[in-house]
Amino acid sequence: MWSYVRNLPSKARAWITAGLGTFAALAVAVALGVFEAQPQAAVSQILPGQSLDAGKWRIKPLKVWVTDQKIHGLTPKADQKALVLEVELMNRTTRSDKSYYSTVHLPPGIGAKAEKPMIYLVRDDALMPALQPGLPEKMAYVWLMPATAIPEGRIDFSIEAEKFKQRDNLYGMPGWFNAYTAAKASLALAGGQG
Amino acid sequence: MTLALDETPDLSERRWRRRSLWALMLLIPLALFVVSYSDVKEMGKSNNVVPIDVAAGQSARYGGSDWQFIELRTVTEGLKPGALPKNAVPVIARFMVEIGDPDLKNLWLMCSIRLVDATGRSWSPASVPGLPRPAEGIETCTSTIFAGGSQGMRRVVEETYLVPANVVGELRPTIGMRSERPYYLRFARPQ
Amino acid sequence: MRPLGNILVVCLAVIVLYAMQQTKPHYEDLTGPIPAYGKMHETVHTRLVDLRLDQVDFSRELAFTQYGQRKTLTTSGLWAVATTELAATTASTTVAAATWVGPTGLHYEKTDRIGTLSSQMPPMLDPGMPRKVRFVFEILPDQVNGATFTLSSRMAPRLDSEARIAIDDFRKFNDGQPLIADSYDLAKPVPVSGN
Repeated sequence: MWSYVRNLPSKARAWITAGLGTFAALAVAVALGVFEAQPQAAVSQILPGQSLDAGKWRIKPLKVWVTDQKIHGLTPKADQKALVLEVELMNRTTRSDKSYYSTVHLPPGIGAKAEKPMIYLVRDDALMPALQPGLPEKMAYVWLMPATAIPEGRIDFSIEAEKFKQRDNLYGMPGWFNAYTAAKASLALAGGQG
Repeated sequence: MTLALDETPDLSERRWRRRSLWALMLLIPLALFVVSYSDVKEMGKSNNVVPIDVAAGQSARYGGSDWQFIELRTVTEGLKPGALPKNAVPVIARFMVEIGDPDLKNLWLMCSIRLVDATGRSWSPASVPGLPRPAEGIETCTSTIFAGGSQGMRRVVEETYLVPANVVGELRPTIGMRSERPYYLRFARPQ
Repeated sequence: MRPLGNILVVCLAVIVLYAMQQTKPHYEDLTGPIPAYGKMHETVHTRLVDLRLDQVDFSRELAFTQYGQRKTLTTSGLWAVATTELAATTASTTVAAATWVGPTGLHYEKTDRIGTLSSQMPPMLDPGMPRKVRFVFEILPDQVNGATFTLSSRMAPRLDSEARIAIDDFRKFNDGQPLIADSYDLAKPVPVSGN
């Protein structure tokens, strides 16, 4: 059979080779698709007061509450309320860092109605300061949203993490890439504060 | 697949192989040049490289306008004692500009007027606390861009510096703008 | 004979390439900062800045005056204040990055909790006119002994000089623990060195 292929005109041989390559590529793509369509491992849940190592940050959700008063330098407008999430964050990297903005996400339904969060150092209301390696700090994520959008009961925050790569593919530099949801934190909304 | 060189390919093939190898000597530097050309050009546009000397009292065309260096004067009034570093003296450089091309927003982009001493050290404009405000109509190089001006208009441009007292005598002003770099003007001190 | 030679050549190439891959310095290291080492109280020369680290103080609280208001910053770690004298070498410049590097390699960049205090903005430096500049770091107490102060004109210098000064002189107790004051006041003039 091999000799038969070898005796084919070169054009035909090229066609056959290219065809084989195409089929191989298709097979790989289908396999990958099947693999991705598998049910993902369930995202783990953490409780208030429980620490989680999420990429750059060790995060410990503490409490969540709602207020219509000025909070950490942010004042809700007349028809607004502020949703405040207090967490303890510790920088697990070797360098001062302030990229904790997208570490905590509201559930999409609420997040769509809320303004972009402001993040304060609870200690002295500094806005989004860099956090130092190994130094845990209490931080407050503050979302302003219409008073009607405030949910009842529990809120499922999702905690996002990134993976460390010693060398990235483009520059060969160390960095944090490929964000994924590391866990969900379900906190009961403490009502009536402020 | 054979790794060793094919034995005796025909003559023209060998000749072209040799020519290709020699061509690399030209092509590699050429490739480096093509790749780095825009960076080198940008470097020349951001740095003063080639001086154009302007004699004392003369004016020179730069950035579409005629520049004349008037004076470099030391300021003493209005200063609080102890507000400045030791040995530091505030000086003001004054230029007379006759606007030629009024398109200052493009021509005067990244305008920087610096003072250079005899050894090549340079000082950029600084804010000196306590100095009196300049008279109406006197602007810095950058604020002149926003003040604007029509063709033929004469303007005074002043910049303030903080320099060590011992080099004041040897300082010469230089002017650089993105549109004209790598060339820059270097003025002689009026005697 | 011929195929055997070819296989040998391939094996040799694999060995040589692997050895090169394992031993060559990485691009990141090749194009990293060019260190200028020094000790405290001696002048260290970098491309754009000459500097001298005069004094290092530690405190539990940091006090300063901003917009006429007294403010006090607390920390669960330690405030470290490095007092330096800086001057530009050849042209007016500024200093963008100052870092406290702990003994285990943790990088504490100068704090941004102070906000827009004018004395904590990147300093404008001119040739021939040295200025006293204080840099404030928020560090962990175990990052004091064996630490290094680094300073560079840019945030992440590539192929540019970076001063690295060993922090070897600060007031300490007999057991080597640093003397930690209750409070450090940035509003007071730069202290004159005296150990």
